[in-house]
Amino acid sequence: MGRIKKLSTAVFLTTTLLFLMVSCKEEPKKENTAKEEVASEQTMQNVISPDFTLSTLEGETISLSDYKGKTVVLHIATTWCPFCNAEAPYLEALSKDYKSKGVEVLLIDVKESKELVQEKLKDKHQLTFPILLDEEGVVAASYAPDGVLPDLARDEVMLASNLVIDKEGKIQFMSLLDSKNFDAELVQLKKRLDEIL
Amino acid sequence: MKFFSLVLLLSIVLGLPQKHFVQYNAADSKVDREGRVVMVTLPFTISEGYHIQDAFNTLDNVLPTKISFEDKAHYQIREYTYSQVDYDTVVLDKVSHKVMSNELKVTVTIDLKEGVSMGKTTLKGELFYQACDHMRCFFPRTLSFSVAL
Repeated sequence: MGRIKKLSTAVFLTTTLLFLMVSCKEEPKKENTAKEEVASEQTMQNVISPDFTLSTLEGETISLSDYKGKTVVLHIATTWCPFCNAEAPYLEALSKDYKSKGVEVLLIDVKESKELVQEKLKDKHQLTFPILLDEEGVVAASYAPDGVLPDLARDEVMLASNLVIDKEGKIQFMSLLDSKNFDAELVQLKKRLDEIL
Repeated sequence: MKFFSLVLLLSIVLGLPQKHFVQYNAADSKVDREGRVVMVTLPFTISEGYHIQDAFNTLDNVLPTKISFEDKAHYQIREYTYSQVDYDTVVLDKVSHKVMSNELKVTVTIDLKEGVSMGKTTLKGELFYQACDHMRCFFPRTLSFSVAL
């Protein structure tokens, strides 16, 4: 009888210990996830932007490092992204309004043909700033914070995202698409631009 | 080879199925015959939490849903209508527009050509759509469907 009691106590203690171990192990995990979610919005801010080299619609090769000493607004888009299309006229206006302040706008189109981009982005919205072709989506993906990439290969782009890269190549602003709080007029981006110029 | 090129190549080679946001409910399709005229109802379900664009009167910035039919050797499409649609309203750049969610039915009226027997042909087609959720829109997809006439 005494042995059964001891065995029961041992089982109870072991179960309790295991439960506590699992509970203690999961708690920091939740905390980390929450921190990661917050960090994902900020991951690429205040860090040096990765450099890239891409071809324009006109066949010119452009690197981000060519713009050192200037402030760059980078917009990531596709022709099928309604939010990108909605932002396009405001980007064009921004490029004209801020040109004299040393701001250059670049649009990175992801995984689309030159002809399609020419017709559906450049011609449709009469864009005058350089449009770069990221045929493999590698450059767009290099800006995606952890946890932002969706599970679909073709959709692995953070479309309608805007970045502001300062004269030293540091990312000063980065927005990820949130259609509920969609800022087509780029109010937040311009606010940040005005702060750093 | 770059990582993303490798992933893309593997996807093509392995033929990884594309995730769909709309399902064609073949078992619930309806075919009503009256002489050489056939009325077909094609039922689709839009996944919960997603919507697709309307077929008509869409904003310039969105891709309208389109249905197309193939193999017209045995029949002629007289007309088709989006007969049952659950509409929602979403806002894009402060402009409201209609989108479709939940259930969608397309009714097609077909004239069978002379010499074509009932049960000997199949209506085939594709639904082109762009799905969005509350955060973003996805690359447009084409969903195939078929129904025996």
